[in-house]
Amino acid sequence: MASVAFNEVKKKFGKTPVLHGISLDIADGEFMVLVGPSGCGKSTLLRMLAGLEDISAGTIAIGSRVVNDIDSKDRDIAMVFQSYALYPHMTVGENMGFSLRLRNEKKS
Amino acid sequence: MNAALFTYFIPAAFLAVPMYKAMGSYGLLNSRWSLVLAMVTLASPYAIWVLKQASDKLPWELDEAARIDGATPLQLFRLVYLPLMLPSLVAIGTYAVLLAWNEYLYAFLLLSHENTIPLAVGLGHFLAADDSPWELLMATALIYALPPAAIYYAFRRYMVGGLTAGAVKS
Repeated sequence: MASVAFNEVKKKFGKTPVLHGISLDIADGEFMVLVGPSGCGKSTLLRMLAGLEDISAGTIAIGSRVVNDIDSKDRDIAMVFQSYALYPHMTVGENMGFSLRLRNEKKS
Repeated sequence: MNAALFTYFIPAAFLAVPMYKAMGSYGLLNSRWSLVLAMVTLASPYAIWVLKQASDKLPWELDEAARIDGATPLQLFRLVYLPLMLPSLVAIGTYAVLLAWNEYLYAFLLLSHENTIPLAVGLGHFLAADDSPWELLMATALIYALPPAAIYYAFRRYMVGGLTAGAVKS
């Protein structure tokens, strides 16, 4: 686990501003829940943290590392999608081990 | 894509002469490549259409899940998308193979040498001579019909629907 820090994070889709500068510190081991009506940007913020959306302004740091320009795979995070997004042609084990397989980890 | 499908409105007999002239100007007449190219041309629009439909159905979330898991675009294609497209690929492959296997018109036009003509045209040659050896024709036709059946039997287990079911909550 690590701490997460959002600093004045903004997001625009085209010209439409969606997130207007969010600053939030989440401590190591803290249990954090974002609540809000649909369309208010919870998923967008999470997707920015995961690296699936680029950050229009501000910085996101995981631990002491600013991750704005780091690929999602190198951020050492996991994400469960709202719609599961499981690989349907794989077994449960293959689904879980997919990222290990991509990193060429040994099976033992 | 629709423009490609539109070519099916043009009858094959209408395209035969331009195809013959095109192959002639590239010096491919009487070469097996002419028929290969002609059959690929005939099968492509339908293949494009079917594969486009199939790939549009793949959920976008799988792409993002694989990116977080650290898949490169090539790995994403090979390990996630290709296995999910397999039924479509097998279906379209079988269609293309059978289309080529049954082809008579283009094979008859583009190839005329005894060593290059496919069996479909060869069957017709049985009746071109003065006598009509029906028993030989029928025996050959039976053998001719076996490979498609074998191909279908071999790939039958890949022809399944709903492979992406359960990938995402709908």
